[in-house]
Amino acid sequence: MQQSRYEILGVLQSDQSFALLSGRVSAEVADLVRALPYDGLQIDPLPRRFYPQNEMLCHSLGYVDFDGNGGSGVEGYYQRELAGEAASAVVNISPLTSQQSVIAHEGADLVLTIDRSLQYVVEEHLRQALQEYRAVSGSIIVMNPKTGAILAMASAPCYAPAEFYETDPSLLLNPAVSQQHEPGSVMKLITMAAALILAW
Amino acid sequence: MWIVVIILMFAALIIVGRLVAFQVVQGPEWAERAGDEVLVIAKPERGSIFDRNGAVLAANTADYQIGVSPAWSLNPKS
Repeated sequence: MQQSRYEILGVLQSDQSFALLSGRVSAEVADLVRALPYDGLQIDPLPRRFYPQNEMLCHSLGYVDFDGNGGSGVEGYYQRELAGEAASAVVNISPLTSQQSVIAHEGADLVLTIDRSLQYVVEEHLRQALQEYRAVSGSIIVMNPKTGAILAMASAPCYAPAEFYETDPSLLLNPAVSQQHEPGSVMKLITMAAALILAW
Repeated sequence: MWIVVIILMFAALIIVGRLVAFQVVQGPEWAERAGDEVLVIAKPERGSIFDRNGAVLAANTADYQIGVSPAWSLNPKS
């Protein structure tokens, strides 16, 4: 822990009924501290979100802050369903009365239509294309035209959702869905459709 | 008029009597019951996010917070 021994000694010898020795520390540091011969240390877990795919699918996933509130992406959009509901009650813990259990409404899991392997391939292509054309940003969306399911959605530049606190806020928006673009050739579909309807 | 005053005094006496009974006589009993009660907050775990084939895209882990209660610890050495 990054603290002077003198400071820690001061806290330990004080008369406080409780003092925090550290802010968030990783599990490795916690294990090291747990192995110390001093007993009376309280090691409490603080939940944290982690993303095994690191930066992949960053825009679509979004991030979760340290209070458990999701922001941007599906973490933010489905915040209520993912987080569940906390329950609180004043409960009598004396062994003479019957025990009441406080049951919270668990958070629901979310299954996306995204295909992880496809997403990986798409992101690789996007990265190469950006390098080849020396572009600043780009997006690729792969969609199943029959069902509308999004199989992959990649945008660059990306960020690491696990380090949301260090991220430039302009990166958090998903360019594929939240940014405005000029239609370009896509407009031809609309003119064609209009022509077909009028000619019918 | 006098009857109203007497009735009010009677009512006041009853209220004060009940208060004394509640706080002074039964006081320790209520305090003991309150001491047994605890506010329990159950916080649910956040749901995970999977892709269409079940691969994990977002899951939960924990950081730790280290605290100490110096007033309660028995050995003053560190």
